[in-house]
Amino acid sequence: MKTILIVEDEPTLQKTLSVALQQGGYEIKNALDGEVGLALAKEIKPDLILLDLIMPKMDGFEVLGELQKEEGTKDIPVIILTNLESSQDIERALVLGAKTYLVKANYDLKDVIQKVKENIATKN
Amino acid sequence: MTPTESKGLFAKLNLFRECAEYNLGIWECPSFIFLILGAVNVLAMISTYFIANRFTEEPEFVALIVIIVTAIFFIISHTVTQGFDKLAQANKMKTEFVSIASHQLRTPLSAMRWTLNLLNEKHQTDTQGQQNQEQTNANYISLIKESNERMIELVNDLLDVSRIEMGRIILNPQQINLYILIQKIIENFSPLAQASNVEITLEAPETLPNIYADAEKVSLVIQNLIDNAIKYIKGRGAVKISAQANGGSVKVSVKDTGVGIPKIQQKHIFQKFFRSDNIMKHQTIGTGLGLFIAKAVIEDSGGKIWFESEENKGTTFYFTLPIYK
Repeated sequence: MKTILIVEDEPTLQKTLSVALQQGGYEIKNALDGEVGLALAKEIKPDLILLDLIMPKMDGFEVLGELQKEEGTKDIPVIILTNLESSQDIERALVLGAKTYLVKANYDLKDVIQKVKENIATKN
Repeated sequence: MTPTESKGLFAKLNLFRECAEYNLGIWECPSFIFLILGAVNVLAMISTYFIANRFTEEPEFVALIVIIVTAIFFIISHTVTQGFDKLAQANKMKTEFVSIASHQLRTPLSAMRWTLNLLNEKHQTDTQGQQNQEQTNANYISLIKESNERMIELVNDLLDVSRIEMGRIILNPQQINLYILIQKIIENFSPLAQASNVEITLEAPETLPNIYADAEKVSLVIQNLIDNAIKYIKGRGAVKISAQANGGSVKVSVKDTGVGIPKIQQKHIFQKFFRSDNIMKHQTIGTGLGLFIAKAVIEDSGGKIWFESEENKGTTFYFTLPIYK
């Protein structure tokens, strides 16, 4: 079973995402801030990371940067899930290595799951 | 001239309306200063002509006049540039405000949207599963309620901010027993305080005189101060509230053992959406409008609000409100 790491500081969003993805057949790990998220990513090497941008302690941009630095984490596909929408933020995230960028308020859960299916790591 | 053309011309002539919109004083309004500059220019040219004609024997005198007039022009143009800067700033703040507010509304909106997605799904279940499904649905509904309450809170804060900006804040002052009010608020905060490992205490004489202010708004101010105090405490801590009569007012202080506010950020504390990022980067809970509204409410009620803070030691917020006579 594939593992997805959700790094999201809003409890309701985290809960609903977890439930929907579990129903979709994925194993879920959760982090409430960037610091814990980064540590978990390095430890469990998930098949996909759903990453929020605005979070306490370490924001999504910083996490992206750190993920790229390590051999074990730089190839994990990352989908940005945020409510920021400026083109600067989008560009910055993509340049830092994110695979794709979704504005939460514009997508239903089933659309998010679709994007997850499209981007999740296919190796082993 | 057609009606629309003449209307456009009149609008262009109404130079000071934009400045009024952005709350710029008339001497900060670039359009007005430009008019003054024009008038000074004409005056200077006329007087230079006459003075030059009178003092043809003393060219140094004329030169001096010209230098002085040039200096005056320079000063006035500088004021014009500053005025334009202020207008641009005010405009920028307006767009930023809308951008931040809509971003904050999106969080509870997304939460509601996704919870509704889950509620909407139909599952094949047996009787036991049916019970669990009902419980799960009840949980979802309570999450939706929470998000809805957050949106209402934000919209109300935005409305308050808008009223404050237009000078139209509505206050219904009445006699308030602060002692009872603060005690009730502390009670409501007890679950959050326990969860955050923070102890809240109140030190006030029972003979505390009643104040004259809007009960709902003052309650919001106190809630905001306590909320901030708890939020900026790392680990265990204490929030001490004290109230005492002081001249014709009651002085209340909310003291926390939190992370404090860095000196460079202190002058921005009462601004809209400003959040001191000393403890957490981009803490998203709360609207960032609380202190802005608090300052307007306290000052409009005839009081003062201020604070003292030292990094890593803590912060104390003070405010005064007039005693009911």
